[in-house]
Amino acid sequence: MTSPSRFRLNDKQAVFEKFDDEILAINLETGTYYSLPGVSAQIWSWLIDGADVQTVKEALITSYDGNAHDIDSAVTHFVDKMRQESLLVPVQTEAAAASIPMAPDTAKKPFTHPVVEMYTDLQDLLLLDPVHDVDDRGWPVFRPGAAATTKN
Amino acid sequence: MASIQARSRCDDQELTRPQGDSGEYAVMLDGYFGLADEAWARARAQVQGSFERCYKIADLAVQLQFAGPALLQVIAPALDHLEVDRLSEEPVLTVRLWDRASTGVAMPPAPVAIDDFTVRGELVGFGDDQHRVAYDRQARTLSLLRHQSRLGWLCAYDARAVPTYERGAPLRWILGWLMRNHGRQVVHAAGVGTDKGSVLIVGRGGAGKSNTSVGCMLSGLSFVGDDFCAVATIPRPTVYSLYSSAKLRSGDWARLPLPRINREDPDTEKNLYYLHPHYARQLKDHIPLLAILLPSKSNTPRPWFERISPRIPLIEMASQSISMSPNAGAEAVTMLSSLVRQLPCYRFHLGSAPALIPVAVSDFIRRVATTAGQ
Repeated sequence: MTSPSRFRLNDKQAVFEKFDDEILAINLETGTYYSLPGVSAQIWSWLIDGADVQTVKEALITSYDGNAHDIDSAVTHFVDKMRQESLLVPVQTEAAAASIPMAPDTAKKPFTHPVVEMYTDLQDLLLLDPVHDVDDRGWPVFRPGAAATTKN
Repeated sequence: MASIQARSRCDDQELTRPQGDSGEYAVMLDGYFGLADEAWARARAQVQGSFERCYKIADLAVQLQFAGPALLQVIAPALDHLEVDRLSEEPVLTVRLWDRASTGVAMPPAPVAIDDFTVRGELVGFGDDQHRVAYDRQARTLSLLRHQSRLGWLCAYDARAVPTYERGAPLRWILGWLMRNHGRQVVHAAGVGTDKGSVLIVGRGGAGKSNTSVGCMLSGLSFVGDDFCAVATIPRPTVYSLYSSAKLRSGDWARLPLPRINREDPDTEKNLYYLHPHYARQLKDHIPLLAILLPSKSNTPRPWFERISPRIPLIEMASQSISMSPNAGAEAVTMLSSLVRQLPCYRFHLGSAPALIPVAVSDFIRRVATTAGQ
């Protein structure tokens, strides 16, 4: 079985914004948010724009100074991570993948491993189990001592 | 998180969500909302009438219809500064309110099972874009909104037991749904300003929003809110007032010469104050925004401002909005992203001399307004 080669945003569960050379992605169901700086933002943007994984790898090898095997492995790992975090989902399509325009004659930048910074401080707010007491009409009753999680 | 359930329970009858037919599902939701309205009508009859109040909230005409005085005394004070004698247009929303304790009329039975309540109040699998439903298990209040009919309902178990946070920021979920439907977003933020414009002060609880905003108000600046405001980006970034309340701890540097409203232990619960009518001159219903500030405690002698990436306040605001607002999601993030991209964002290092903060904010607004050509 071959791995999927093209991906899109999992827009039922996630949202992202681009700030300069950084992607900020949020998983709305888990509350986890992700900072994707530098090379990570570049890979993300190319994938979202419709490039397939192999094209992304080749573009990085062309534009970055690094070991081709390392770059190949890093992209694979990054894509796996984005799928694991439910930020990207595979696209099944017969349409041609987008190409990646390369700037001519620019000096190669040193390749740095794509970084995925995860922030989970919201998870406690969104994922606590509901209390298990109800009143005579079936409505939940706040249990004294349980965390009041969404109030300030 | 609980998985989406297809069942609903209504008046002790098992209702099955029609498979693949949104029209039938909407009819079922309408039926439940009908039960809520019947309950409100019964409550109103029990107390022999209703009290009506009209408001302009974020430039939207809103009417509240209280069955009896119990909830009126709890909900209305924080909104008093936005009350109008009469509305010159049809209200975009009428909310009907009652409590079980004073009227003897309960809210309709829960339409989902206990595992289907999320922490932020949603009833998983019950509601759609037109029908919003949320339940606050601590306040024991049910909030309902049907956009198409411009009607909302709020039922509390006991008006006397409504907690301080709800008295300071009443109807927040219903107003949140309303605002989102009208191009606005409720944010966990304070707003203060001058005749030049305003700043939105964002940050989590304890960041310094209330002290900064109330301290500025006491020094003569205009006040829009200390904890929750609404924002819009069109036609220009603007902060709107929702509540005239302020919450401070007993040891805070900003001190209001007003009686605290709540009776809880001041060591564990913030003091709640209503600023209207005492500071009516400084309470503004809206002010155009000039910048976003993220307060940060620091030991420098004087307050100072550090330009930061808009992504930082976006994370703060988006995370708070998502965690505190039922049904908030991608559209809230998109709206807030648009806001932070239109405004300069700064970390506001508060310094060790609180008395200097209001002057620093006032000077900052003047400088930013000058830069912006206002």
